[in-house]
Amino acid sequence: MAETKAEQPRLTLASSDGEDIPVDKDVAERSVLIKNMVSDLGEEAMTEAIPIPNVNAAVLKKVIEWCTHHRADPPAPTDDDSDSRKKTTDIEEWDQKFMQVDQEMLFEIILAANYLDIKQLLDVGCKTVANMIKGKSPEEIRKTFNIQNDFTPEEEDQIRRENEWAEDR
Amino acid sequence: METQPTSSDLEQFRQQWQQEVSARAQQKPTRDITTNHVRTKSSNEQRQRPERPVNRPPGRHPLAEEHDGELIPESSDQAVRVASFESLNLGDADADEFSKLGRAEPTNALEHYERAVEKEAQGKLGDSLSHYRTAFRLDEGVDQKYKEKYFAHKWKATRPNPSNAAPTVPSTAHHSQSVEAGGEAVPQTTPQLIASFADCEIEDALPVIEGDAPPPCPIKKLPTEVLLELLGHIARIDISIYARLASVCKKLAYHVYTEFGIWKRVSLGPEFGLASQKYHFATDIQGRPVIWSAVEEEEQDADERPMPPVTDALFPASQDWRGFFHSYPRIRFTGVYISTVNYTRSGGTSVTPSTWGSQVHIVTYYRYLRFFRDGTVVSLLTTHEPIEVVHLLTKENISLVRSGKAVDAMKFTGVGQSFSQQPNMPPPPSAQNILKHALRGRWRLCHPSLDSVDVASNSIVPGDLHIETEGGAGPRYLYTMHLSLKHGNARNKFSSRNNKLVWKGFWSYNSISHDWAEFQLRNDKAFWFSRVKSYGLGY
Repeated sequence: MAETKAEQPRLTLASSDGEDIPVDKDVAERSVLIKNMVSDLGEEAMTEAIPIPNVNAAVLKKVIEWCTHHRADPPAPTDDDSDSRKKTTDIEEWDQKFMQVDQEMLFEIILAANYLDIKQLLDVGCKTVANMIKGKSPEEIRKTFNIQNDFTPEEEDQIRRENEWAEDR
Repeated sequence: METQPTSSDLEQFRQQWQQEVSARAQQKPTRDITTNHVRTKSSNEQRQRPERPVNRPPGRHPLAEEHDGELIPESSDQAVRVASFESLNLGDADADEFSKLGRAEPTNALEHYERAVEKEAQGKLGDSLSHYRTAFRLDEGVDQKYKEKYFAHKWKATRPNPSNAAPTVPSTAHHSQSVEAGGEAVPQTTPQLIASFADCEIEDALPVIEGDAPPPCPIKKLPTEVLLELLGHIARIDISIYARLASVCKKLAYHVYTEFGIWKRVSLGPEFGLASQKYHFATDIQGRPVIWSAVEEEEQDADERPMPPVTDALFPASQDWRGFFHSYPRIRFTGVYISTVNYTRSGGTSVTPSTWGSQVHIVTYYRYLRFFRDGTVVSLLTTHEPIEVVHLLTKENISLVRSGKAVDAMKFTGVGQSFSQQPNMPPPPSAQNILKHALRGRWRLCHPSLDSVDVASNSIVPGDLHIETEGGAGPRYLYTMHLSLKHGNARNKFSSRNNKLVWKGFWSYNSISHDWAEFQLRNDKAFWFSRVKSYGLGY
C-alpha cells in the first residue's frame, strides 16, 4: 500500500472558490466525470489543475475524504443488481460517521456526488436522507427540512388519503 | 358497581337508562347486530353451504367459486378491520398494531366503544359486550361518534362534488378553508390538483419570529434532476416514505405523482415490486426434508425455471405504473396475513334437564401466514392472539424450535419439549409451544404472463397464490393451500389493495398413499394483511 501510494500519479482539482487540491489519481477516479476527463485528456491532465466549477473547496475536500476511504472498493454494481441492494437502508459505519454533517453539507455532498458522478457516494447520501425521514409524518418531515406546508388543509387531506395504501408497501 | 348509591345517583341512572332504552327503540339494532353478528353469520353459512364431495384433487375446490366474489359486507367485522387499519396512522408513522403498549383502561364512552370493537374482533364477545354496554350507558350516541371518528372522511369523500351544487348549507366542513389557491375553494380532482402543482417550488418554512431570517432549507437548492435522483433512491429504499413525501409540499406531491419512471422501477423492482415475487416454487418441489434445507440456502434453482423474467414487456407501454403498483397482485413481506376465525358450537348437555340456557362455546382461532422473499412461507394455526404470535414468526425462531424437535423425532422420544441448549436461543418456552405448530412451506404466485393466456385452462389464475406446507398431522402429509389475492376494500379506490387472501381450496396430500383429502374450511375466513414493524421490510 505504502509503495503504491508513493508512486501514485497525482492530480490537482481546482474548486469553485479557487483552491487547488492535490489528490491521488485513483482517488480522484472514483468520480466517473474525472475519470472520463482524464482518459480524454491523457497525460496533459496531470499537469494542469482540473476545474470543478460546481463544488467549493469544503465540499470537495469532504468528497475526496470519502473517495480516499473507498479508493479500494470494487466498482459500483449495476443498478438492478438485487443482491447488492439487500438491506437497502443499511449504511456502513464509516459512511454513517462521514455523513454526520449539517444538512447544508449533506445536500452539497449529494449535489457534488451527482455532478462528479460518484454513484456510491450519491447512494450513501440518499440513504442518509431516507434515514432522516424514516418513520416520520409529513409534518415532521417538513420540520426536519424546514419546508413550508403550502397545501390547504383540504389538499393535504386529499393527498394523504390517496397515499395511505402505500404504507403497507 | 357503586357501593353507596344516593337517591340522586339512582335518579340519574334511571334517566340514562330510559334514554338508552328509547334510543335503542328508535335507531334499531345497530349494536344488537354487532354483538350477535358472529353467531348469526356462522349459522347462516352452515345452512347455505352446499354439499361437497370429498377426495377431489386440487384445482376445483368448491370454495373457489363460493368465496371468490365475496364482497365486503357492511358488517361490523369490516368496520373493525378498517378501524384497525386506520388507527395505524396515529402516532409513529411506521407503527403497527402489535406493539405492546401500556394500555390505559378506557375512560370515556368512545374509548369503551373502541375497546369493545377490538375485543369483538378478537372474538372475546363477553368482554366486548360489557364494553359496548358501558359505552352506551355513558353515551347513547357513541356509535355515531365512533363512525364520525373512523369513517367521516368516507362520507366526505363520497359526497358529490359540490362544484355545481349550490352551497345551501354554509356550515359544512368549511373549517379554515383558505381561499388562496387561485381564488377557488372548490375541491378539484386529484389529477387537476397535481397538475396545478407543476410549477411549485419548495418553500422555506416561515421563521419562528416574524421578520426573522427563515430557517435554512438546503433541500430546496437541489435542482430538479438531483431531487428526482434522491426521490428515486428513497422510493427504492422504502416506498412508504416516498408516498408520504407527497403530503409534504406541492412540489414533492407533483413529483411523487408524476414520476412514472420511479413507479415503474418500484413496480418491477426487487424491493417491493414484481421481481421480489415468486412465480414458481423457489425452494425445491419435494417434500419436507428439502423444504427444511431450503430454508437456509435457496436461489440456486431459482433461475432454472422456464418462466420468463417479469419485465415491462409483459405490460402495455401506457401502463399507469403508480396504479399498477397499487393494485397489481403481489405478496407483501412487511407483515403477516391473519385469518381470524370465530365460530360457535353448542356446549355439553347439561346434567339437569331444566336449565336456564344451553351452553354455547365460542371458539376463536387464528391462521397466520408469513411470506419470505426467498419463496418460503410459515403457516401457523393457533388460538394464540396476534400480539403474542406475530413477533415470534421469524425463520430463526422456527428453525431453533424445529432443530429441537428434529432431534427428538430421531430419538423417537415424546413431544418436542426438549430444546437444544444453545445459549443464543431466544424463544421462551411459551413461545416454543406456540411455534412448534408452525409449518414451513413455500409459495408461488400466478405468473403475470399467464394473464393474457387462456385462463380457463389453468387451475391457477392471476392473483392466485399456491402454498405448499408441511403437514401438521405428520411427516407423510403435505398441505396445499390455494388462495387468491383480493382487495380488502374494493369500494374505496385509495385503500390498500391486495391485502386480503381469500380461500380457494385447502387439501392435504398423503405422500405414501397418494391420496388427496380436502379440508372443509367450514368456518374459515379470509386472511387480512397487517403490517408488523419488527419485520422491517422483510429482507
